[in-house]
Amino acid sequence: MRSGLWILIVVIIAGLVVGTLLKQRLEKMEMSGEFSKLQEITQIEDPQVKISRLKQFIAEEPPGRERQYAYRALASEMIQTVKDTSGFENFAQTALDKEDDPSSLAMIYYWLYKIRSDSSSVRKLAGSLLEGKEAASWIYNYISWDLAEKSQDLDIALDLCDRAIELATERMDSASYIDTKGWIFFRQGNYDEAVKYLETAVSLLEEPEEEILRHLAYASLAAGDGDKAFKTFKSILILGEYDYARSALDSLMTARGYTPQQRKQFDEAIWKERMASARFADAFTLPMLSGGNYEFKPPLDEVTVINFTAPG
Amino acid sequence: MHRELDDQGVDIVVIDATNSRDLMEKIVRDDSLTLRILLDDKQIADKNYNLMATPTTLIVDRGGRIVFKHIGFSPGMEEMLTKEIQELLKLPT
Repeated sequence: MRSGLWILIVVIIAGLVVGTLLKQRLEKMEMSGEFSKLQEITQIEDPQVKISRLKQFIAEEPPGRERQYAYRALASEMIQTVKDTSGFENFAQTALDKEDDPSSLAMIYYWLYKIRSDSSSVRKLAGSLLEGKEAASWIYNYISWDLAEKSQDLDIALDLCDRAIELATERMDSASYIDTKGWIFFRQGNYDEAVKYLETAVSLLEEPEEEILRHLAYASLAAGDGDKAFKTFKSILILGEYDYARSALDSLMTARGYTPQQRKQFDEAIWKERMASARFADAFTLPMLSGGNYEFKPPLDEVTVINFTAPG
Repeated sequence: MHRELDDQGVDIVVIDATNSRDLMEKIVRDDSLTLRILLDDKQIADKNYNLMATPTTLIVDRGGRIVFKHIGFSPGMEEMLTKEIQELLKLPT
């Protein structure tokens, strides 16, 4: 299993919506002995017993996705269930010294970051992450992105983001991390640099992606490049009827003196482009949770909404 | 939202990309969900739909074209989805 998948699942299990969109290919979760053992531990009801067993699991099991999951489960139990934040911090500090697995290290840093909010402790944590053993690339990007969203410690956010970019091995990860860098520049008010990086991020995408395009559109607008902003908002509208893109385009069209007829033609062109660029959905047959199979085989009797999810 | 769409002749399916039957059953039970939930035991999310992250929402028109794809969840998304679907429902079958 590629580490990217596990990151995705764990992050979602943690109940987060991560602002950046990493390339996360889902691969089959093979049931290993460790996985079954961990599953059994996570079903223990007594939190103290569960914590103790999770610590034991971490100490005994080899590195891998199960150990990473065990860190997540332990953090969740200690911080959220029994509210023993300092107990977790102590455990995590020791674990950072012992642990060598980049994905597990990333998970520990993720939870340590979650329980820090003031600038001084965030900077200390970021320093440890930058100077310490190499962790999985997503954690550098995650903290960097979060700081950018909060407009907090943008200098350190940039350092973290650069490390994420260095460590990225997949094209989509690179796109996502470069998008973060562009957004940090946007937050710093350096709009020309923001546009430069966001354009690079867009160029790395295999297919247009709304969030990165949105960043580019706003950065272009802020940089005073109305043409680029117009073109990018238009690309977003081809993806879907996003209110903010519609509203921005309305303003830009008003500024450009668009007539009602031109607006109508614009809308027709958007729809035409969307239909032309739409790909056909593959047929599939999958088991239903309630029993039996569901067959999806276009052409369809009904418009169909498909929502891919990862429960947690 | 899904009940309103059901009434308008829109099919809604939720696909658990991680194929976690036990977890999904718990969620359905705890939240009294009535949605049609599928388990991706063939990795179609990756192999056929090139899934980047979850949640990912697709709208497929009657002809089988993916006319809308959104990754993540944004405020106002329900309204936007409804608007998109209304446009599609206006089209001839």
